[in-house]
Amino acid sequence: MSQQAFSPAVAVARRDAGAPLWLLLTAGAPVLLVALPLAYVATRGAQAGPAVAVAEIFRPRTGELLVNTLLLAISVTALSTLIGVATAWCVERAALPGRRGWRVVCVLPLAVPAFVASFAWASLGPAFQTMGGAILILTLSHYPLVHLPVAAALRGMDPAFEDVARSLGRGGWRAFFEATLPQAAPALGAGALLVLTHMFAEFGALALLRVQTFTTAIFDSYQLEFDGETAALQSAVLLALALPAALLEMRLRRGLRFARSGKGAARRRPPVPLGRATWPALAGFSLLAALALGAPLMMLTYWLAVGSSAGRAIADLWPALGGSLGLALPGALVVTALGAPLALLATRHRGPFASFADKLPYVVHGLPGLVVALALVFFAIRFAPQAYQTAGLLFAAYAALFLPLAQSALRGSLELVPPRFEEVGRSLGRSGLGAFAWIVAPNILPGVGGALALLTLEIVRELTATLMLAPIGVRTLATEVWSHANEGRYAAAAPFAALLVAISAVPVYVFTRRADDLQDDP
Amino acid sequence: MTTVDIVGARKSHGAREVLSGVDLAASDGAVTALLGPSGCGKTTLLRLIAGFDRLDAGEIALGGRVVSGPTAHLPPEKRRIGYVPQEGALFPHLSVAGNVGFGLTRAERRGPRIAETLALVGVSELAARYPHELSGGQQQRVALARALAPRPDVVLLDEPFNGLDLDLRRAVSEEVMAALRKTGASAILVSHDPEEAFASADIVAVMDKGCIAQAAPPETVYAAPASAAVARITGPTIFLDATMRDGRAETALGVLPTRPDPGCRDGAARLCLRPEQIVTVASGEGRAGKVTVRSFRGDHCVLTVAFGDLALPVRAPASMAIGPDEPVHVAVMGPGVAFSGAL
Repeated sequence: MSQQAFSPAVAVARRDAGAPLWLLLTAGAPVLLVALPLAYVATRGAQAGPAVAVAEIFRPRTGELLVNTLLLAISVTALSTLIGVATAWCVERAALPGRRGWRVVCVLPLAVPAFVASFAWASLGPAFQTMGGAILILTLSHYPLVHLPVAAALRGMDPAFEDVARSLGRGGWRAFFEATLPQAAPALGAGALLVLTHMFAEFGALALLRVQTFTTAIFDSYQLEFDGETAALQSAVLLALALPAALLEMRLRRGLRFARSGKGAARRRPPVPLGRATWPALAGFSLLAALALGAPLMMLTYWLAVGSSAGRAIADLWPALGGSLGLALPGALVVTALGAPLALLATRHRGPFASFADKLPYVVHGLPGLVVALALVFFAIRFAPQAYQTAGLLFAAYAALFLPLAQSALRGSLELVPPRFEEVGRSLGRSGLGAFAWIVAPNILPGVGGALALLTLEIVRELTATLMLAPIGVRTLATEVWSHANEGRYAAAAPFAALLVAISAVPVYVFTRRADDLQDDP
Repeated sequence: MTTVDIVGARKSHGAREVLSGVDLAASDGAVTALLGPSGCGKTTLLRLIAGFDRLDAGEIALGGRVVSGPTAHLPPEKRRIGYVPQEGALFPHLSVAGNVGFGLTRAERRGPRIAETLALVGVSELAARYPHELSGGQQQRVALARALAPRPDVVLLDEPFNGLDLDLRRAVSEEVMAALRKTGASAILVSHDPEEAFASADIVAVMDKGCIAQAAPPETVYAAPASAAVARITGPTIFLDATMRDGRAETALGVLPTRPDPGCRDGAARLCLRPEQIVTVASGEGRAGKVTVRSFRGDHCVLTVAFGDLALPVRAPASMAIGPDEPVHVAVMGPGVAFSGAL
């Protein structure tokens, strides 16, 4: 009959499946933010000119740093992979006595930040303040990053693959290497690359262990000459190492899925009996727990006991805790708010910009926090001097470092609300915004809560960017540990470190138990 | 309770044209099935009618009022449609009553409408349950109730029974369509299952390669398909090489009668038969052939019968005791449909 009930002009301007303009604009802000470190290195490199750049990059000093950085990163990654796969297989597929308990124990080292573990070991003796010590300590604190995804892959995998391999004449070991491991390969690869990017980015632990790599060198250059060329050019070399690893990790993570053929639930499979290997396996797990958890915790306890006689530091504990939470809680809100449009774009409006905007933060996440902080200092003092030394600049750094955590937490819950739900809502008479408010929002609230909790925890543990960008006078648990431990005042550092570990342990424990409850055998 | 008129609807996803000029008229209160293979554009057409996507060209009118056209697009919430997607898509955070009440006003929600609609689809006792506590069939019924509660003019069903097991599927689809008919709403059902489409719909619109190839009552579409493609989409078919002469087809099974529509000129042709048209007869009648394979199917058996170079599947009673290499006589019942051009 007629068309006057709606406005034709407005209606025609929008294309279907196209994202609304406001969403594109809000997604543009985080994209801009994460592009800063790349822009910083490019700009600073161009300012220095090719001659200076070449001279700096081919200094013998750079070569030393390169050897150290690569030696450390490759050794830790290889050892973490070995330990991570072995522990994952034992707790998921083998009849290891007490496997439920070991599942939690294997992951708990994540609760001890690497710089805290390093301080504990360093306080044990100078023998650990070497490259060998650094490889040992960082492996012990990073193998869970391989263990977790591989264990999840083994748990989610259809045991039929291995059964088929066995039926085709493969022995137990060959079935594992030819049927099981290839299935877990994307998870394994993503975990290993995550360790690698962490190694390229690690700063606090290496500074405390007195091992010279690019990150510690960049920090020293930055302290010697504020906003200098050397720091920028060393950052460029570090980026050249970290960027491919970050890109590859992101690609692998995208492809993560556990193929199942056919409908129906995967059958459970009885765990493989370990036989004579039971006792050696238990001994191995005990040794691992003693080194990764026991040693740092024991040293912390020791220094707490020594320090409590001094009695000084306890009074500083509350301001530091307040400082941590004062940065972490608003920081988590800011990062979640910035991550929301990216997650919405990625799940609701596929397209070249959406996919670029969605992926870029994952790449920057793999870049060293130190370089991100340097980039923000560089741009702040040039374009927004009033922002320098404010919490806002630090929140920007947190956003660059932690956006992917917010994105994946939000996307996980957004994916549980397929666009079809909104369509049904609209067919029942709700407007686009109404459908979002009544259908999408109630279903993603748990995801938002999870994102906030996770980000708060990560920001409390964050050292490097906080150290460089926190407003003058703000002290956090992490910066207090670092400054005391860096000057050898181990007893003074211990209370802050202990509180940090206690705060971290709760969510790590809860996440592991939850994963355990979701799919557990009796 | 309204008509749906689609004229020249076109739609591309990127460079791929999904709908290339669809014309379809669904009359008031009728159930129309969109039947076609996957990728033929039937779901795209349904989403255009619902208003979830926009037309590139053409026009869609509901009850005579243009809702999608070159200059206008009425948003889905203003179209008075009911939508039942695949797998139901019940809101997981709402109970059954909450889901069914979603499209109602606050006042209506307090009234008897929710209970009424639940009773209509036969799931009154489930009102307090949550979607994850329902079986697949129950979810589909609730999804229909949710769509019917606001008394829509047109109900759109997008392969709603796809997720169900085959035996459950027949029962649920029968009950759901019966409940739908009680409301008198017009309905458009997307399906790739001819049996479901025939059982549910007044008009079956067969879609192929982005167009409606034929829209007619189920019996017509099955017995007199407009093209070879329609014949294949609407059920099992057997094509015989034929030569047309004066409206009769000369084939390896003899000279056979053909339907006058869609009509076929003299010369080389393909004769389309349905498997049940080829039957075994007493010896001496029909054509003699030789059984090569006998395949038992429970309530019947299928014989592969060779006539020289030609091998045809022939349905026979399960009790028929016949083995390979034995002779059998076969006849064709009823007219076939001839299409010009050789196989």
